Amino acid sequence: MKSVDWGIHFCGIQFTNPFIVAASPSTHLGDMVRRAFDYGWSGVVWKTLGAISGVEHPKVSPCYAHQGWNEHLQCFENIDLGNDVPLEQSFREISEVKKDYPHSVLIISIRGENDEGKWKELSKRAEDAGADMLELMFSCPHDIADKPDGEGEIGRQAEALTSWVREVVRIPIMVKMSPNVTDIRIPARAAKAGGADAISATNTIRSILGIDLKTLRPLPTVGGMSSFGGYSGPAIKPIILRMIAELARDPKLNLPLSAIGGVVSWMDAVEYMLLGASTIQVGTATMYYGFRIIDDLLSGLENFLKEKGLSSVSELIGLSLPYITTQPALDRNSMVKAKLNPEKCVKCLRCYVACRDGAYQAIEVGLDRTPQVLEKQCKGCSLCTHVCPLPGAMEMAAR
Amino acid sequence: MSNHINSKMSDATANAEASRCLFCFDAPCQKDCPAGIDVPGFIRRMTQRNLRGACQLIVRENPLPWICGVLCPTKRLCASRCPREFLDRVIDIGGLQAYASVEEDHGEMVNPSERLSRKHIAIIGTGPAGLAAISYLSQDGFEIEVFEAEDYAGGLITCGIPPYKIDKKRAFQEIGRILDRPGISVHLGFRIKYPFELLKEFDAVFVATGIGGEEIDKKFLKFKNVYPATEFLKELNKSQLQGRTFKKNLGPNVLIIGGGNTALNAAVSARLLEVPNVTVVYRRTEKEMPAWSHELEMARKQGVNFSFLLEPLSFSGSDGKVSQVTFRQTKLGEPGPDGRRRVIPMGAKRVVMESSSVILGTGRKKIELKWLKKEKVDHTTGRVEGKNVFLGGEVLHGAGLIVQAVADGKKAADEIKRLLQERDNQR
Repeated sequence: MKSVDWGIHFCGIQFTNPFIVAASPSTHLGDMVRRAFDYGWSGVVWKTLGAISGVEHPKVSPCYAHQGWNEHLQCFENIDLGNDVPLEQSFREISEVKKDYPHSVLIISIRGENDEGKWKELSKRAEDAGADMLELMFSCPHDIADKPDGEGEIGRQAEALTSWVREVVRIPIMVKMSPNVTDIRIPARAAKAGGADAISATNTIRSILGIDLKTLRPLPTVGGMSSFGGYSGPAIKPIILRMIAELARDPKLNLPLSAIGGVVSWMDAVEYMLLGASTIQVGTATMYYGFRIIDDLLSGLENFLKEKGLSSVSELIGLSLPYITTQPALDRNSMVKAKLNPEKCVKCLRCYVACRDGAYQAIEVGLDRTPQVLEKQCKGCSLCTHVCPLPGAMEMAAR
Repeated sequence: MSNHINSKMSDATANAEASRCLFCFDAPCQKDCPAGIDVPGFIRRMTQRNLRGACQLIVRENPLPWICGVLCPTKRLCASRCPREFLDRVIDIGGLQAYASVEEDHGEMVNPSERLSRKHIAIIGTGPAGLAAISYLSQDGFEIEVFEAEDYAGGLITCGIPPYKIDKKRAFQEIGRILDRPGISVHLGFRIKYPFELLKEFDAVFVATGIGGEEIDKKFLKFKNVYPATEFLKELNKSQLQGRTFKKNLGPNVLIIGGGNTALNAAVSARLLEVPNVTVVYRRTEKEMPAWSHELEMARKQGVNFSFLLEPLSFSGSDGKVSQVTFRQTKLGEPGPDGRRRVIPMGAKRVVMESSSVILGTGRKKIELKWLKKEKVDHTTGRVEGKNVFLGGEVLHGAGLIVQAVADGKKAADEIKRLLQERDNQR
C-alpha cells in the first residue's frame, strides 16, 4: 500500500508532518529540542525568549497544578513565567541546533511586551541565529493577569507589535492568540493587518485550577499564596476547537492556522485539522508523557487516513467546516427518537432517571428493569444516550 | 495470622473500583443486601472523597460494616445482579465497604440520642444478631445489659469463622465500638438458662443465642480423635485468641466428612495447621456440594484432597482412637424433596481410608430450645406470643449468613422499640 504523504506546507515552509512541540518547558533547552526532532516532531516552538520587565526571576515553585487522575492528563494549570536560560545561551543553542537539523523547523517564540525596541532586537537576533519562523507571544494569561484585556486593546497591541517585527525580519511571522477574549477574530485580524503570516491559537485559559481544601489556599500555592494561571490539557479542547473554527471561517482573516489546545491523541489532532488547522502544537501532553507520543500520533493518523481513503494529511484541512451553521438555521424538521437495543441494555436505569429528572419523562421502567421509551413523549434530545454506559444500547434513530 | 484471604484494598484500587460504579437507579445491589445498605450511595460518596459520609451511610443500615465487607459472599448477595457484569465484571462491593469502614472510626459517628427512655433491655448472645440489636437500641437511648455464654463476644464472627478468613483483632475492634458505648453493660461467660426469668428485671429480652453445631451420632463421638467441625473451629479460634498453640494433635491424615462451607473451612484450617494430608469425603459429587464455589476454590488452592460418592459406614481403631474409616460407595438418584439428588448406596462396595483424626462437617442443626415449652413464636417478628421476649438470628431462622443475622437484629430492635413505645402511649 502506498504510504501516506505527511507533508504540510505552512507559511512557505515544508513540514515533514503536522506535529510541532509547542512553546513550553519541553522546548527550553537545545538538547530537549534535539531530542524532540530525533523522535520525529517536524518542528518545535522554542520556549519564549524575552524577560518580563520587573520580574527578575521568572520561576516560582511549585508552578503547576492538576485535577483528576495522575495517570491520565485531563486538566493542568501553570503559573510559569517563561524561560530562565540566559539569552546568549539560547541564541547560541538555536544556531547549533539549526546547523545539525536543517530539515526540522525551528520556530522561536519571542516576547517584547510593549517595547518596540525589544521586539525588534529579539526577532532580528532569532532570525540571525537561524530561526525558520517566529511566534509572537503577547498573550500569556498570567503575566498580564492584572490588566484588563478587551479585544480592542489586544487588537491594537497585536497590530503594533506584528508590524514592528515585520519591519526587521524576512522569515514568516506567526502570532499566538489569547483565548481570554470574547471574539478571537478581532486580535487575529489585527495581527494580519500588522503583517502576520499565520495565527497560532491559542495560549492557555486564565484560571484558578482549584483550592487545597486542607489549607484553603488556591493551587498551586507558592509560599502560601497563588495567582491566576494558564489552564491547558484535554479539558480546554472544545473551547479551542470553536476558536479555530471561528478563525478558519473568517473571510477577513484567511491565514493558515496552527492549533494549540489539549491535543493528546491523533483524534484530537484530526479534529483540529478538520476545522481548518494546518499544523498542530502539543505542549502539555509532551510534558506529561514525553516526546515519544509522536509515534502514536503518526500511527493513529496514518491508519485513519487509510481508512478514509485519503493519501495526504493536508487533505483533511477544513473538511468539517461546511457543516457548521448557526443554531437558528438548523433544520427543525429533522427528528430522531430514543431507541433501546434490549439485547445490549445492562438495566442500570440511568436513562430512566436522566429522562425523568433532566428531560421529558419519556422512559418508563418495564418488566425486569428494562427501560421502555414512550415514543410520543420523547422529544429526541438524546440525553439518555449520553448517560448510557454501554455504547449502542440506547441510540437515536430517525422516526 | 496475616494471610487472610481478603486483604485491604489499596487507595488506588479503591478509587478505581469506586469509579466503576454505574450508580444504577433503584439499584439491585441495595435490594439484594439483606441489611438494605445504600450501596450506590456509599460508593458515590467514596468517589467524592467523602469516606466519612460513605461510612455513615453504611453504618446506618449495618453496624458491622468491616466484618460484613470482609465476610459477605457478595457475589451471591449485593453483587449478584450488578449490571456492571454485562460491561466487564461486577463491582467489588465487599472490598469497597471494608475499605470505607477501615479508614474512619465509625464508632464516633453514631450519635446516641438523648436518653429518652429509662427502659432496660436484656440481650442474650453477642453474635451478629445480638450486636445489631444492641447497636440500634443503644442509639435509641435504651439501657442495655448483655449476656454472653462464651468468654468472647462476637459469636460465630469470633468463634466460628476460621481465623484465616478475617483479622480477629480488627473484628474485636468493630465489636468493641458497639459494646463499649455508654449505657451498655456486658457479662461474658454468663449463660442464661431461662430467658423468661429476665422479664422480672427487664422491659424486654432479645434472645440471639444461635444454633448448635453438628448433630453427631454418639457412636462416632466416643472416639477421642473425632471432632464436630464447629467444635474444632471454636477450639482453634479460642486457642488463637488466647495466644496459645492448638492443643489437638490432628496427626498426618485428616478426614473431613461433609460437603458444606463449614467442612471446607475446617479442611483449609487443618491445611494451615500444616497437616500434610487433608481429604474431604462427600457422599454426593462436587456439583451437589452445598459449599460455595469460592470456598471450594480456596480449599483446592490450599491443597485439600477430595473424594466423592462415599458415605461413612464405620469407624475402627484402638485405645479409643479412630485409625480407619470404612466408606460405602454411593451413586446419585432422582432429586429428592429438597431438590437435591438422592444418595443411593452401591451394594457391597467398600473403601477403607487411614485416618489420624476425623472432622465431621455434616451440617449445623437447629436445636430445640428447652426454655420454650408451649409458647409460640411469631416467625415474622420473632416475638414469643404474649411476652416481651424476641428471638432473632440463627436461633429463629436456622443456619444463615452474618448479614442476615444483622438484618434480624435490626428488625428485632425496631419491634422492641415499637412495642415499648406503644405500651408507653397506652398509659
